[in-house]
Amino acid sequence: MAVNLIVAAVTLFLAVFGLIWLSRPGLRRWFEAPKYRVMSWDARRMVNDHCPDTTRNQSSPNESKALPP
Amino acid sequence: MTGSTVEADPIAGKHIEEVSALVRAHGLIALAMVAYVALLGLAVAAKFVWPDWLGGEGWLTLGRLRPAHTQGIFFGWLGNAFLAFFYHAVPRLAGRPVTSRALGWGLFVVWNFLLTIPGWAMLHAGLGQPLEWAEFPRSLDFVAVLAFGLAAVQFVLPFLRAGLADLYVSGWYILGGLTFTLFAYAVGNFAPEAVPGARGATYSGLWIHDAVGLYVTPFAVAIAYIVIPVTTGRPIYSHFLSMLGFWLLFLIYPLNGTHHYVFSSIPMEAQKGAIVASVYLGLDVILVVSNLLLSLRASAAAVGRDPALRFVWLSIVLYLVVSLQGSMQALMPVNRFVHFSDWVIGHSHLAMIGFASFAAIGGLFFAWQRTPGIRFNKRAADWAFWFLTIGLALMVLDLTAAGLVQGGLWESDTAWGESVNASAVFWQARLLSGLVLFAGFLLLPVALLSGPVAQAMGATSGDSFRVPAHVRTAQDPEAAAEPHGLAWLRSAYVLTGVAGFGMFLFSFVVLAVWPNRELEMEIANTKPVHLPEPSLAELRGRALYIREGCINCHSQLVRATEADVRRFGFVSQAWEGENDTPQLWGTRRVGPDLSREAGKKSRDWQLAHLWNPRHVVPWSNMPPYPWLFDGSATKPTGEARDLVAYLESLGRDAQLAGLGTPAPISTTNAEEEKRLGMFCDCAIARTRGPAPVFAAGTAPGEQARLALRGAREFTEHCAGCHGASGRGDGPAAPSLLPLPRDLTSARFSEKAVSQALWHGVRGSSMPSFADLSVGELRGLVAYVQSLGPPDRESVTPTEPERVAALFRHNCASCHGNDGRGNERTATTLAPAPTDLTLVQPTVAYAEAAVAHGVPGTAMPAWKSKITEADRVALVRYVRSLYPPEGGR
Repeated sequence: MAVNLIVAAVTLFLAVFGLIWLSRPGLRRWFEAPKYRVMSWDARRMVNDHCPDTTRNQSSPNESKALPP
Repeated sequence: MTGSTVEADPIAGKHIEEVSALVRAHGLIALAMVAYVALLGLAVAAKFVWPDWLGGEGWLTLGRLRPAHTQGIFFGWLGNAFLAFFYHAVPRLAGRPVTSRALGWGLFVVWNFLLTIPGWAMLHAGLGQPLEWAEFPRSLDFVAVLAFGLAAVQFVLPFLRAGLADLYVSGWYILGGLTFTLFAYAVGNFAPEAVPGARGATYSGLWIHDAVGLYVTPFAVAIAYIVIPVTTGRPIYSHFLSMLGFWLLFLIYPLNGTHHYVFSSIPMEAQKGAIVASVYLGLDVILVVSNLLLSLRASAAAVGRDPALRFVWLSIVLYLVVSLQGSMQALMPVNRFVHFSDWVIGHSHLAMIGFASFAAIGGLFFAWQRTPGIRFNKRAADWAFWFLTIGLALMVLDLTAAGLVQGGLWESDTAWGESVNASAVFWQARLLSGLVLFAGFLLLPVALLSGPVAQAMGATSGDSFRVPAHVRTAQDPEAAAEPHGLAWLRSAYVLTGVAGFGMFLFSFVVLAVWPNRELEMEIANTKPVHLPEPSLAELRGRALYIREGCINCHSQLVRATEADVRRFGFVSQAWEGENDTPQLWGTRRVGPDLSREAGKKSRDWQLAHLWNPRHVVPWSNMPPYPWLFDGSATKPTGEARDLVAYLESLGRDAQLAGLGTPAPISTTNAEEEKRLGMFCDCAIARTRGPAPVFAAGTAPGEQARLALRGAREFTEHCAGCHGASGRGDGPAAPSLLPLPRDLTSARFSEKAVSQALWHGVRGSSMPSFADLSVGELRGLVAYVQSLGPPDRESVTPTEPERVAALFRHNCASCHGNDGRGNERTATTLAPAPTDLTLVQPTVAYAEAAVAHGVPGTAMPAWKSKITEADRVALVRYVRSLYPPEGGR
C-alpha cells in the first residue's frame, strides 16, 4: 500500500511539473528568474561597503549596476 | 528586492555590521566546537585500539564519548556553521534583515550555552538517551525545540515579511529545513520516549533520517546553490530543476526512516515503503547534483582558485556518492550484509564530513570572506582542504572495507571474536585517518584567524555577467507579474508550508502511526500472557545500560535473517520490549547482540567481564567499568549487580514463551516469507543438540599439530579464566565461583572436553564455545588433553568391594553407582557432579577435593566424616573408574 502510494505520488508530481514546463513557455522564464538575482550578491556588497552612510530616501546606486535591465 | 532605499537594504550600513558580529560569533564557536568534536572522535577511535585507555573514568568511557561526538557534530559544529551562513545569506535572499539582533544573540546563547555545552556535560555524566541522533536528554530536548523555534523566528520571518513569490532555491531550502526540523525534532525526540519497543522504533527511525534529510541536507544544498553562482559569476544551470529537486527531497526524505530497521518486526509494508522511497531519493539526488555540476561547467579554474568553492564542489560530488550508497544500503540484500557494521560508520562519516561539513566549511569561508574586517588565510584553507579530503578518503575506504569484512564474517559460522580480531587493523587505520582529519579541522581556525584582512570581495567573473534581457526582476514593476492564471504561485511560501507539512504528516502516518497500529494488533495477538514483570534490580540495571552507552556497541534486535538467527537465536518479536521505553534496538554491533543473553553466561562471568572484559575474553575490545566496583573485581557494587541482573533478563520472556524450544512456533507461512525475500526461521535448529566428540586425533603428528593450534585458541579464548598454563589461575579467576578448573589437575577425555566446550558448564562461569569452528574445537580438545598428567598404568583399588560400598554409601547419590554423575539427584545440581568415567583427577587434587570439598559446587568436605585411610582408598577407587583407553 505505502509503496504504491509513494510511487504514484512521485510519478504524478514529476508528470505535473513536466507538463507545466512543456505547456507554459511563459512559465519557464518565471521559474528561471530567481537564479539571476543572486548574481548581484557581491557587486551590491562592494558598493555598500564604500557608502555606509547613505541617507534615507536616497536611491541605492548599486541597484542599477547589480540588476541591469 | 522591493525596497528602493538604502535603509531598507538588508546588507547595507548598520545591518551588515550587526550580522557580521553574529557571523563571527557563530563561526568562531563552530571552529572551537569542531575541534573538540574531532578530539572526541579521535578518543573513540583510540579506545577501539586501546580499550583500557582512560578506562578508569566513567565520564570518558566510549559509550558516553560517542554520543557527545555525534551530537557535537549536529549542534556544536554544523549548527553554528549553518547559523553563521544564514546571517550572511538570509538578508540577501529575503531582501529583509533578520528579525532581530537581540534575538540573534539570544539564539547564540541558547544554542551554545543552554543546549550544546550542557548537553555534552550531561552526556559525559551519563544522562543521555539511547536514541541515535537524539542522545541529548529529554530536559534539553525542550531547549533544542526552543532553539529551533528561535532560529525559525529569526530567519523564516524575513522571508514571510518579504512575501517573495519568486524566492531563490536556497531560500526555499532554508525555509523548509528550519520549519520541518522544528517539528521533526520534537516528534523524533519525544515520541520514542513515550512509546515503547518496536512501536517506539518507528518514531526513532523517522528522526534518524530526518536529522540528515530535513536539517543537514537542505542547509548544505542551500549553501551550494549560493556559493557556486556567486563565486563563479555564472547563474545555476536550471532553477526549475533546482525546485524540482527541492520538492522531491522534502516529499521523499521523510519517508526513508524505517530503512534503518529492515528485517525487524516493524510491518514489512512500512519497511518496503521506506526502501522504495530510498531508491527514489537516490534519483532525486542525481537530479540535484547534476544541476549543481552543470552549474559548475567551465569553472574548473574557479574551483581550483577558491577554497570555498572547492569545498562545496567536493561536497556535492560526495553528496551524490553517499546518497547512492544510502539507496543501495536500504536494499534488503545489501542491508542484510552491511547493517550494524563499520560500513555504516563509513557511510555516516562520508555524509556528515564529506557532504555536510565540507558544505558548511564552504559556506563559512564564503560568508567569512565577505565579512568586512575579517582575516582570511588562503594557504591554510588550501591545506585544510587537502588534510580533510585525504583523511576522509582514508577513513571511509578503511571503514567500508572493515564493514565488508565484518559482514562476511557475521554471515559465516566463525565466532564473534573473529570479526573483532579481523577489524583490529582497520580500527588502527581509522585512528590514523582520524589524526589527519583532526589536523585538517585544526587548520580551519588558522585559515579564518590569520592572513591579511579580507578585502571587499566581488564575484570573480561577475562583472562580465549580465542578466538576460528577457528576464524580469523584482525591481521592474512589471517583472513580478507571473504568467496569466498562475497567480497562486505567488503564495509560494504558503505552498511550501502546506505541502511540506502535508508530506511530513504523511510520512508520520505511513511510517509511524500506521505501523504502530499494526504493531499494536500484532502484539495483542501474539504476546504471551502472565509474563513476569521486570524486577526493580533489572529496571535499575536497564537504566545503567543506558547510562554507560552499551547501545553504542550492542544491539538488541535479532533480525529476521538467517545469519542473525543462527548466531544469536530466535528472531526478535514485536511484543518483546513492550516494557522498553525508549527501545534499545541499537544500530551498531561491535560486540554481539544481547537480546538473547539470558542464561548464556553466569553472573560471576558477567561481573568479571564488567570489571575487565579481557580477563574473561582476551580478544575483547570492550571498555572496562571499574567504577561499578569497590576497587576490586570481587567487590561489585549494587550497580554492577543490577546491570548483570538486567543482562540476565534479556530474552527471558521469549524463553518462557517457548521460542527457544526445539520445536519452534512458526507464526508465519514459510512460502510467504520466501516470497517476501526472507527465510523460514523454522528451518534453523533452536538447540545445539548433543555435543559431538571433537577427536583430538590419534596419530602423534596430528595430535601435536592440533595441540599447537589449540594453544593459540586457548590463549585467545580460555586463558582469561584458566590462566596461561591452564592452572585455573587466570586474571578473572578470583571473581569466579566455582573457580575455573585447573586443567593440569586431571585427565579429561575427549568427550568431557567436547561437552564442556559445546554446552558450557551449567552452574559455573564456563560458557559455550559452540561458535568456534570444528578445527578450533579439535585443537582445544587436543591442547587441554595435553595439559593433563601423563598416562599411567591403570589404577587398581585396594579392598575393591569395601571401597565400592563406601563409594555407594557416600558418593553415589550424586556421582551414581558407576561414577557417571547422572544419578537422579545429580540432575538438579549445577554444576553437575563430575562424570568420573570421563575425568580422572590426579591423586593430589582428588584427595584435596574429598577432604575439603569444592567451593561453589555441591561437593562437600568429607574430612570430618571419613577417615584419612578411607579417603585415600576412595581416591584410588575414583581414579579406577576412568577407563584405561582414556574415556574416548
